[in-house]
Amino acid sequence: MRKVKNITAATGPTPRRTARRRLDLLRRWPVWRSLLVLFAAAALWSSCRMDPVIQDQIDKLPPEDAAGPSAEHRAGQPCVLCHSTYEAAEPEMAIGGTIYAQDLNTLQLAPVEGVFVTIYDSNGASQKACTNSAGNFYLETSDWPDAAFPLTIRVGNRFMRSLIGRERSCAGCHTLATPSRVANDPTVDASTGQSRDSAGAVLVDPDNIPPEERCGKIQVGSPGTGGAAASGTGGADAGGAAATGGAPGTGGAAATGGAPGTGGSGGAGATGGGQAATGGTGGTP
Amino acid sequence: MMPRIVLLGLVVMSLTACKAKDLDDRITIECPDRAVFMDHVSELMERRCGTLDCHGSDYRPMRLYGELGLRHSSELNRSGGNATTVFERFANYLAVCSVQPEKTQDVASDPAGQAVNQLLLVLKGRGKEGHKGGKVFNPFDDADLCVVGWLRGDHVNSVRQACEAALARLP
Repeated sequence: MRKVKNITAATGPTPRRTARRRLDLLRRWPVWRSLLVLFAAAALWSSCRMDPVIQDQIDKLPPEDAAGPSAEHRAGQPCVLCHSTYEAAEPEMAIGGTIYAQDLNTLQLAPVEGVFVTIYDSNGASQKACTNSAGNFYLETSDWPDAAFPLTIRVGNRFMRSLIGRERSCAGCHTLATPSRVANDPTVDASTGQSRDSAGAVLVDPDNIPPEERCGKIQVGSPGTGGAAASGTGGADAGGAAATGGAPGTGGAAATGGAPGTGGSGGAGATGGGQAATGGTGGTP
Repeated sequence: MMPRIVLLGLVVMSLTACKAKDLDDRITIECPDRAVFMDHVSELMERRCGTLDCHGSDYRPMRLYGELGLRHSSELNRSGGNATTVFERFANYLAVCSVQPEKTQDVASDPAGQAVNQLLLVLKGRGKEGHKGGKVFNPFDDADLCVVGWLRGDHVNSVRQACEAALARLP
């Protein structure tokens, strides 16, 4: 063996011998192989995880509530964007959403706590979830791993009139009003967010919920509690977004502030204190 | 002499072959009965296929408009608001016919043939072709008879009955 080495040194390595030496190195230092495997796995993981469509939607979400993640956070936003295998936020959800009531005088939205949401799948199975103080409800994937689409839904005594074809986040179709949506689409209802391409907030009449559809005492939060439809600071339109600032259940509102086209600093009421501001206070032109 | 004639022929042929297509050229595609679709089939497809998260989306092919789904951008209706308009049903007709225009024309020109079973619309609906929404109908059930019956040119009454029966099963 030594002799061969000497000959190689004397004549210079041929390409074939160089390759053989590299192979020898690989065999001698398995750590290289480990690194290669790790590198390949990392590349595979990052490529699998990158879905530009979902990632774009996640990137457009407004900042997290001040109190941080909880069962009450990000009311009115598409839950399953993050609570999925893609973003891996815990818990992974089979379906999730937010239930509101609308004050018919002020038209403001407020979360409804203590109402059952019943989901029926195509195989005849059904599951129930209960709304919390932010109006949020969800079912974990582990509770219903084989939910068969299309789904139908009942909230209280109100059946959703259309099917759910594939969307697991209510807010995927029930997009709330945001300043930019109101500014850019003349069909957007500034209170509920209903428009040509959105069914608007999921509304129930809290006074008309049968006892068997209640999970605890029905409580309607004050308008603006439990997340909101607008940040009021112009800029990003998160497709149904939460208030900036304020603890879950306190901050934000169904604010539609910020005059169309301004993207300005108006939209009072979305930050802190549960102020409700439909119509907002304009914004600087 | 002959070679010159051949050469001339080749020149003429190459010139005509290279003639650019006029960008404003239009072709006419025949599609099964418009009135039957708009009066009966459209409503079933709106409700079953045209939800906001499926074909009732601006971002998906075979875009369908409807009362409970996406509304046409040239009108000012809201999802869940006014009933589906005639304009939207006509847009639905165009969308369905345009999925595979040539094959749809084959079906229209030979309604009794087998071409209908090869349409993507039918294959995806029956779950025989990749479809995110899965199987929507089984061969010869009401929804199948509604859509395929329209494509095959079945009598309007049988299409209407099938569509109504399929609609009755939806929420």
